[in-house]
Amino acid sequence: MPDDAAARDVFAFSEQIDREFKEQRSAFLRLRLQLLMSAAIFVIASFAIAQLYRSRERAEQQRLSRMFDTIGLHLGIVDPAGRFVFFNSAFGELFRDFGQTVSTGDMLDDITRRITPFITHEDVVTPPDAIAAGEPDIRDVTFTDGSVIRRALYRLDDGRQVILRRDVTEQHRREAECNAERDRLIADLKRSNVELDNFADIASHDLREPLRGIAINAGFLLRKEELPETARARVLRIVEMCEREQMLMDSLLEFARLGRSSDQHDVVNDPAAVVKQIEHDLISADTNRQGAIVLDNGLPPVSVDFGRLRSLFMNLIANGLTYNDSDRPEVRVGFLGPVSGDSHGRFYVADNGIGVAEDDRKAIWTAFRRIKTGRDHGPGSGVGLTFVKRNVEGYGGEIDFDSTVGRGTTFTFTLPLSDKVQADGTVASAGTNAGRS
Amino acid sequence: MKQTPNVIVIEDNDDDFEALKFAFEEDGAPGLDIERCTTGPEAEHALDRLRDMAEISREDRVLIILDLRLPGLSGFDLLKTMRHDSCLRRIPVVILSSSSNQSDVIESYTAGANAYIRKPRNFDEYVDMVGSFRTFWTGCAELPVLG
Repeated sequence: MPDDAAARDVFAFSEQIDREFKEQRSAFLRLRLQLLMSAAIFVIASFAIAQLYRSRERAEQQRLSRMFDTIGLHLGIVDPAGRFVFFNSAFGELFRDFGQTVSTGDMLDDITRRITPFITHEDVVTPPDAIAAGEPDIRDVTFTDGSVIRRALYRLDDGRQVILRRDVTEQHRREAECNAERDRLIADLKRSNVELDNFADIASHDLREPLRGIAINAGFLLRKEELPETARARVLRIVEMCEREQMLMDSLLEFARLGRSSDQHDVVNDPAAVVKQIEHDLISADTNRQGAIVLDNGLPPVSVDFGRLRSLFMNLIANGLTYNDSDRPEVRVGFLGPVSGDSHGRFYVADNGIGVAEDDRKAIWTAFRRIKTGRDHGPGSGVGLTFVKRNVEGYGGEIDFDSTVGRGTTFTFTLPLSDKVQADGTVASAGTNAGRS
Repeated sequence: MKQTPNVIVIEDNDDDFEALKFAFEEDGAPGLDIERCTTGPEAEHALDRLRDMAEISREDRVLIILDLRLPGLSGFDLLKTMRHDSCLRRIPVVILSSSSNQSDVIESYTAGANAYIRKPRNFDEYVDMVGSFRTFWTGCAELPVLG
């Protein structure tokens, strides 16, 4: 029967559909279950991992906290909203000292406001806009009990602020003691210098007076008395010896003073005018002296006391003319240029004199020693070059010389240039007045 | 009639006074009337007489040479007193001191000294110094009258 066969086919088909549907549903359910299980495992794993990280972070924070505690540093970290996100035990103690408990998440502002006036908000934290990022704000805060806390505040790029505090009371006390001791020593030194000056004045006065008496009375003998020629020669010798002794004592006094004052910083705009004045004093005004002083180039303004500059040039130039056997003694003065990387400039004074023998190189700087040349070079105390060296070194400069016996000596020395002198040695403004300013 | 000395030397050192006196003589002023004071009271007395003379005669002229340190007298104080006295304030005062201390020089000029000269080292320098006094006070300027 065809109808029955058809019905059987339909039934069989429907049964197949139903079976396949059941199989599909079962597979879907299994898949859903698997998905749910996976999600559950992921959630549980995530939770476990987060817990693990959190405990590791806490452990690290605790280690950090202990580390800062050990070295006596208070460490606190505040988020951009002003909440504590971390602080070490010592930092917490600070607030506990004032009866406040602090925990992470607390607003720093609230806590500090409660303990004012013992501590102010600014003592602990400075408004973020007051601190440049990356630049620490460091200040010492003195509290009412006399303790001093040094506070450093850093603002991180993300807006968090790191507060570091340290008790520096003891350090401050020691610094104050050191400062007091230093002030006392300076005062002692000043008093001692004044006493030394007074002593030098009194000593030189008292030593000079009898000498002047001898010289004056010897002068009376020469002027007022009829003396035999031999006696006259001896009295003249007495006068000469007195003058030499007086010169030595004057030099000694000046030498003593020179060693104690190196802070005289005048500005001499035109050192060439000083050299010209020396030329007038040494050559033009002295008919007995032959020679020439030549300025090779312009001399820039120097930051040196006028009297000291004059003394320096005078000693070098006078030596160049005095220790000189040439038919025409000549001293040349010039400027070599600025010392690179320094505010000093290099000058020279060169003569065509007798020169300095190798064996005498060191001795020429020694006070009260005159080099024996086998000739009489006139009166002198032997401190001129010592003055020059002290003067130059007193201004942070240096001096040296090249010499050839019989040919001459060239002294080169450095002196602080005036602020007006630029790196290339030229003068910034045109106004260069002669002489001292 | 002449009432006052031409030069009052306030100086306790005999050598310096003698040198000054001889130097004035050598310089060609042997008739010069030089009065010497060696102590504070003597100097005060001399100044008192100058005040009296100033009231009688306004014709006398005088130069004072003053050492800074004398027994019982500070040259600075004496100078200040003179500069505040209407009768004595115009009298030229030359400080003659053996001190080369800059503070003494400054204090002298501040107190009203007309010149500060360091004591000469020998007799020749005294003669030169006195010569420069004469050149200045007779050739370049005239000693002011008292009063």
